[in-house]
Amino acid sequence: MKNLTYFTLIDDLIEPLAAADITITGAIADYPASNIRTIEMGETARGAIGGKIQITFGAGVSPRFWALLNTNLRAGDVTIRTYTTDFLSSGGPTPSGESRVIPWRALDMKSYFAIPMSAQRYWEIDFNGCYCNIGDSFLEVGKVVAGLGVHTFLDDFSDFQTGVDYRNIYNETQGGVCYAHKLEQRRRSFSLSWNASLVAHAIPDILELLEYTRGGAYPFVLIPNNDAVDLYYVRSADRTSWTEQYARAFLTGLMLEFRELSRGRIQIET
Amino acid sequence: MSWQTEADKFVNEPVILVDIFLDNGTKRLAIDFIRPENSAPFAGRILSLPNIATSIGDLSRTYEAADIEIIIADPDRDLRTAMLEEGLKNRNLIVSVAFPNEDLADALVIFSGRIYKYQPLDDMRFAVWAEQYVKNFSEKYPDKRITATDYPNAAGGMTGLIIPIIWGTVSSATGPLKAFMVDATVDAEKHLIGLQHGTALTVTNVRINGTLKAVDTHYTIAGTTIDGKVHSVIAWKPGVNPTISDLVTCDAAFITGSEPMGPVAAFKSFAENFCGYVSGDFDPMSYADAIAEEAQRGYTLDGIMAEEKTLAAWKDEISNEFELDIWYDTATGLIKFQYLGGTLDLAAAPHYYDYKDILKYAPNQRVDLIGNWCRPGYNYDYAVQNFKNYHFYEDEASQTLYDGVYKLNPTLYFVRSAATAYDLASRKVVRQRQPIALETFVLPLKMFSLSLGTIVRMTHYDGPGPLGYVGAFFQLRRMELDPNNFVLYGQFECVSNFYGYEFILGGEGSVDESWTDVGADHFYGYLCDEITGKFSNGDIGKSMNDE
Repeated sequence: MKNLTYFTLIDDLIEPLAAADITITGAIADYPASNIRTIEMGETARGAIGGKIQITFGAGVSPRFWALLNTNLRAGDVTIRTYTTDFLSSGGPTPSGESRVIPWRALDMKSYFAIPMSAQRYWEIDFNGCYCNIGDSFLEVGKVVAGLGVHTFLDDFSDFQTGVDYRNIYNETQGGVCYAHKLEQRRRSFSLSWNASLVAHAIPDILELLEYTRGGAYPFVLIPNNDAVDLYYVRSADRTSWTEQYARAFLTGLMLEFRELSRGRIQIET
Repeated sequence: MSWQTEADKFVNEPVILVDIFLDNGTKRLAIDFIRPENSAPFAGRILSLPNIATSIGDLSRTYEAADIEIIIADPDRDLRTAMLEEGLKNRNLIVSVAFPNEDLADALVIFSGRIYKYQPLDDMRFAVWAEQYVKNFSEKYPDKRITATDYPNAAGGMTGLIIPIIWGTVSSATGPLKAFMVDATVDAEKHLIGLQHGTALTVTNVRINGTLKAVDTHYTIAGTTIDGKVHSVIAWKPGVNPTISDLVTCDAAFITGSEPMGPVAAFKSFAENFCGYVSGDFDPMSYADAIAEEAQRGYTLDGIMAEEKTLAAWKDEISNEFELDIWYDTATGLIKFQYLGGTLDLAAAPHYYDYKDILKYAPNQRVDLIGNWCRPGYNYDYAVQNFKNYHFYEDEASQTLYDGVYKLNPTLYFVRSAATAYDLASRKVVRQRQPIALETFVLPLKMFSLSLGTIVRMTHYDGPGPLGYVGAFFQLRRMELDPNNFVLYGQFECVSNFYGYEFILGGEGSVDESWTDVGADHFYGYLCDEITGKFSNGDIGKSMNDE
């Protein structure tokens, strides 16, 4: 596995914003736009299909990495653009003329701008032309992160495993009839290991991730392969301790395990 | 679609929802992030949920309210803030099971109670304790006492005593009711008998120290309304002059309309007129069935409530005396009634099978719970505090089979009829002449909607007998829901011994066993006396349910 990349919340420019700095077209009070900055992606923001999320930073910034997590988009790329004046300006904000695209991907999508946009305070995520899941009468976004850059591990893993978890409860009669209860939706898990004797940068890389995520207290965006489109919002499966074993000054047999956070579920209601 | 439709599926996706109703809005919590289409989300804050147990009691029908502790994550200090701003005590809390692919309105309520205790915990957790709430079940009644305000001339020692509530006809040869001297004014003495709502009591056979006194000559009966309740009082004529040391007794009758009240009607009336209930608090269908049943049996509730007890305790007492279940149905929030041994609509009793419905069978044959000899006391004399009469019923076959006489000595404070006492004695023996089977069946989620008191049929190979349980009748008496594993630990009492089985007489070749209606070539049959509904030895007969 090459180019394992991650983005931690400590680098996130969205999370520190005040609630008033984020708006969404057709806002729904129970699902405020500010939910895009909360840690859990199961706490979502809702707005009108095809609407916009507008973000006002405290000063001009130029984030190159953007990720939209836990969306209900069925199709359609998202456009990021900036303005040079306040969204509340009379006559409307003044477009900077710059924009980028976050290509559609189900649930989670990301983009890293090879060429950064100029620093601006007023950023807009435009969902115009996007389609939401069939049956949903609203646009839903669980979390948005944006940062100046991402971290990439310098060394390869000795071993990399990824799988899918389905946590179910099976209650079976003595006759073998099974009642299965699905507890949660699909969650991807990752297991990564190093053989320290073969690598030079593993220890500082790991310690850096440990520091950024406070040992697993904070989730982060994991991008298994920076060349691919997939990304996962994960947290350490073992939230309290990551064991580093040293032998003759070498790091050996270190294992990292991550698991996606809950996306929650939409409840039908009449 | 309904909750049950989804629950019946072999694969489904249940979620547990918790609503805490505060002044500043409802806190909606869940084990996951649940986002309704059109209303506020349920935050994924529930860290742990306990099993939820409710019961209409074992053999003695003692009420058991669910008591739960929920641990909640409170990272945003939501509950910590609420506990100071408006307090959480006594707030309503509901736990329900929903399926995200089914309408939220169809969620099944599995707990409905009030928070009685709460506290913040370390690591930004928060604990709340809640108890199932049944309206005023913990309040004590009767709550009217003789006061100096109402009775300024009451004799010494009378002030503060509970004023009895009288039901039905309470009479005996010597007068079972003891009156209280509420006015000691010479030549204007008065004795209070009791209170009820509506019309005044019919009071007869007034005696002083056992000597019969004549109405209009020695006394008159007066009804005084205080706080909306009629206090029936014996007003003595001048010259009679009873004193505080005299024992004044009488008979009394409280009959509304043209009929005396059966236990179910009386309990409902008591709850509505004295305990803050309204008619809408009772399940109309089970009430109607129970009313019909007690009318058929000729039951009336005749006695007085002279002690201060909780409504739950009164419910237990009436239930226990009359082999009657009264319980709070969590799903509907209504009080339900059901007489054990009542006629049964077979088609309505769901049948569960070991191979497809029962996860596990945990046998619990209670050989210690056996009774084949019964001598209930009835006709209680409240003046001298003893039972005037006893009836007797025994089952000699059981005594032989189980090598002993196992005695039951129930007390029937609300029974004054010999026929009713005998009927109840026989029912109690018939119910317990064989060791009681209080079986625990572990059941899947689809049975969470079962209501306490429900009669079901069970077929399980591991049960007793050469073939195990084969369509045996059981009544659900205790249910413990495990919301973490979606299983129900149901404690069922086998009631096959005393439930009448319906059958249809007809041609062997032409009558389908599932027929439940009479027709041209099939008729209801009675393996008992049609009038009494019993065999000649008093055992409950077997008859069609709706003859």
